[in-house]
Amino acid sequence: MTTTRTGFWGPLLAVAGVGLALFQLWLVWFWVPTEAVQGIIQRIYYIHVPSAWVAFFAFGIVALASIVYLWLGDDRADHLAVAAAEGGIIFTTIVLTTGPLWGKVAWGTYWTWEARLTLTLLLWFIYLGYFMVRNAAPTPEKGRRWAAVVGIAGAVNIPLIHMSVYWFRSLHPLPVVAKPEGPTAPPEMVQTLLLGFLAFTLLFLGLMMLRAGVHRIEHRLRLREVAP
Amino acid sequence: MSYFAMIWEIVRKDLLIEFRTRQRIVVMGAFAVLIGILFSFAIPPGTIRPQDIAAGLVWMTLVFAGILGVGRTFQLEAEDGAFQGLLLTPVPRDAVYLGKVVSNFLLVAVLVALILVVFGAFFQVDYGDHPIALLLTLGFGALGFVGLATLFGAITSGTRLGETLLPVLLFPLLTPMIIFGVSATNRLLAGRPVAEVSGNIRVLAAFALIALASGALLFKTVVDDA
Amino acid sequence: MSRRGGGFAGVFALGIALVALLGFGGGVEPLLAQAADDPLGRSGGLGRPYLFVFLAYAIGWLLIFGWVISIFRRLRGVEARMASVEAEHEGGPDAAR
Repeated sequence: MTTTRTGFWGPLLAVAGVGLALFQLWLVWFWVPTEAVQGIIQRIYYIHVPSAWVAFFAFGIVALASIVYLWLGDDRADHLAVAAAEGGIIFTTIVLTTGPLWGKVAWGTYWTWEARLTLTLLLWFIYLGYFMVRNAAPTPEKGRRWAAVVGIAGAVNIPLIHMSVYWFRSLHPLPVVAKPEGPTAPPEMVQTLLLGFLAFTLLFLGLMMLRAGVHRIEHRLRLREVAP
Repeated sequence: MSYFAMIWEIVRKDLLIEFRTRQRIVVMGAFAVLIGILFSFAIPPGTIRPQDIAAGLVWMTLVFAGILGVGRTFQLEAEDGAFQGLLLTPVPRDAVYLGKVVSNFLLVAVLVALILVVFGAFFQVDYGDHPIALLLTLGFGALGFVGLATLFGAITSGTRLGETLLPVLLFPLLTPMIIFGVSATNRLLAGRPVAEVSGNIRVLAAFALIALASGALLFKTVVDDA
Repeated sequence: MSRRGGGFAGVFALGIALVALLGFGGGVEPLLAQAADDPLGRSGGLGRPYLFVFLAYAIGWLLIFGWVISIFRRLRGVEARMASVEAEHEGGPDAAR
């Protein structure tokens, strides 16, 4: 019953993603060798980097779905956009909490105005604006369209923000003691990282589809309550 | 009526309202002067030369005072339903948007001039030998700011939170403008040659162009019903 | 429906608990060994790096778990509303009121 209403692929992908992510968790803690220069703390990469990929991938989906929604007015695109934005803010939060934990040990400080850090923090606030507009709109219909505008304007600006924070960083050399990816990373590290990408992507896609399915039912129920 | 004539009519109407009520320009101007007074107490005397931090102060004042004025673009017309009337006329939505942008830009331009006078008088800031480059920097920055703020002002004025929501939407997207604008202004105030800032000015112009283009495209979906 | 939802979340929680148990119980030895020859682990064992890695993964998984819970709470609310709609259907429009 649940599967027919919220879709079949969402739960399947989510379960597959959780399984792979649990396996990757085991790899990270018991299998992958410790990085020579940074030590234990480097293991944060295996959750941090895939989460960052998912955070930006999610915003890409939000932007594309928003464009489709404004263009064709298809409600399914809006369900997808909300679901992707919700997942996006979760994974952006993961990036923003795991990053400083790594930075405290590797750089000696929780926060620096490093380009990628700054960009991710701004991305988080764009997501926040997306949800605030949605919730503060006078009608759900206006909320959907205004949120789509925020999503598109954000996506258009992200390359510019990216460029400007990198440019800004070039004025401020950073206390980097270790290069993120050594050229001679052992294959175990690469494999663990790649598995992380796969697991988190599947996990995100599955939960996103599930969330979109729930949103679709909510939407239909609301339509029904307005005009039975 | 040609497209530009329509834009001009919107601009004329907005400026006429502003001229008769003087609401927004008074608020923005008072804010700019008062923040100058507060800054003079916030900067410890003798330790920092105001000249060295003036660029940042000018841009922050521009953004904060600008958001006060531009955020209220749609307030007055929304209150008496005049904006609905405007939407009923056969004027394309992007012409309405561009008209609003032009009138807001003129408002912010007056604000910028006032800010420069205030900081020059209060802090004896020397604006350097390249007034044209400085005005281009501030002008393109203000244009990009107004382009985004007008679009998001149309959204926030309709929400339950009103203008309080505007900074949350606007500030993350203003990052490129602040970074390139402040650094260019800094160099000009430090007496660096224009060649050093021409790249920054080009980026600011591109930012303004992108802001205006996305605003003109998206404005229709913001203001229309269904 | 909500039972199935709860089941999924339960399996999820169990998995996390299992890994956490493994981490605290059986698996500390290899990590201790690795930490000992870690040039940055200045405290010479399970110091700040270990704690921070653990924290990072705990926060990450808790956030994802929180999202899963929020989705299933929404689903449960939707199922309840749907049940009332179905009851309305079977009893006719007057019976529901």
